[in-house]
Amino acid sequence: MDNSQLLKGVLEGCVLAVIAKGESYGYEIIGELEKAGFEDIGEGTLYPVLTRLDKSKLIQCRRAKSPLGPVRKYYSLTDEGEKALDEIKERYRKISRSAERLLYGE
Amino acid sequence: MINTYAIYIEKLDADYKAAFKKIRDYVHANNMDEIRREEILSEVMDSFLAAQAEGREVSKVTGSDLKVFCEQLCSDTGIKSRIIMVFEMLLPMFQIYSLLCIINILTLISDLSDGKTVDFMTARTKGDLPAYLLGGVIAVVSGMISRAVTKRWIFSEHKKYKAIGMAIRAVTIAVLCGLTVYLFKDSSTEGTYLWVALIVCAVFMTVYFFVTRRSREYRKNNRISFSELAGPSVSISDDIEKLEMKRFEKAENKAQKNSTTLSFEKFLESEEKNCTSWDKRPPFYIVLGLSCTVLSTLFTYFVSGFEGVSDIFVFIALMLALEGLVLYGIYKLTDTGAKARLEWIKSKRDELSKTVS
Repeated sequence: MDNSQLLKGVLEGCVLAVIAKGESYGYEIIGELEKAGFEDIGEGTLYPVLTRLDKSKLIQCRRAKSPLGPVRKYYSLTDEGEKALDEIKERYRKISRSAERLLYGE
Repeated sequence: MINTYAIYIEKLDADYKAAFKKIRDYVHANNMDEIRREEILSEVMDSFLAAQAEGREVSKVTGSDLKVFCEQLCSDTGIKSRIIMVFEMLLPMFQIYSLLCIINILTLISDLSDGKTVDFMTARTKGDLPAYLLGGVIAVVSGMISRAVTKRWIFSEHKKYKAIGMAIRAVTIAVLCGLTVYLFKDSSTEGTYLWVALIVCAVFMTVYFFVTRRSREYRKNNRISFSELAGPSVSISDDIEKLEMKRFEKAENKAQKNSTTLSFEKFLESEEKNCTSWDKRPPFYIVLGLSCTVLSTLFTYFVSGFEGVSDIFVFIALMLALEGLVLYGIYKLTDTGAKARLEWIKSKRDELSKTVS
């Protein structure tokens, strides 16, 4: 199984979780993911995820001038996003429990 | 001025700058509409500036493979974005053609005023609309093809890929033009009906306006003033302080000569009036200049007789437009100076009123 497949499945949920903590922007989200231990997540991986989440109305964005100068997109969670995050958390717990049993033995 | 990624390129260090230029070229080569390009590149620029401020390497932001990074960045460009881009590219052609139609209409009006009979329904434009359209399409298609083909060389041959792109574009244009000449060499053109051309132009412009409304909103919301661009305007207020204090000295000396005294507060009052009085502000001069031109032109023509009324109107319109543009530009440039002066005056008056109370 390709490493990126596993990552893709999990990344949307993790991004939602980061945004749930508070309004944030691209570079900050990458920083949070890195802190949690995800290595090598670049803006390139993140940007399509954010666009997809925005299209499915799980997050909303507002454009504002960043303190560094360029226009920045600030993302926040919508109500549907909160619900989706809860669902993802539940699903992840079930899947990871079963996978742990098989991969690491009981 | 629009707050676009381009104005921050000089703030990047060498490594970041080189990487950003490649990313910018890739995004431009990807055939997407203007707003998406702006947004993507602004995001990247913001991340670059942030990472640079933290002292990290470029590869930390982009990952080890710049090409993969770019491909992921542009991965969800849809058909809609490409269509909008085509409209944006066709705009110049339609602008030129609309101008041609307007000139034709002016000629008709001029003929009418000179007493000739004019039939609007059978009037023809001097330019053949299908020919213009074909020219526009060839330009657009050759651009898209050249960009799609040269995308792959942006990362391997960054210095040469622009030349390769131009060569490919030239070849494509030559091929398509050759094809056109071969297919249409025997057809004669009389020009399209004027009313047909006008309707087509109107339709395009309406669709274009509709399709680019997000782009206009974006531009409106992201304007940036020159002073913001220059950074903290400490130096401007220092200069103003010096200037104003000199004026105060002069005014004091003048008052002393007339055996009166001038208080700083009175001075500020008069300076404020000075800045905001209607006969000192640029719009007054603009209107003055324009009305002088109009009046003198009318006078000249009244004296020399009515030789071609239509010519007068065209001349006046052009002169007004040109003068208006030039004066507006000057006004905008000098306005920051007047605004800064006013701000300084107001802040000083606030200080004074605070110390008094």
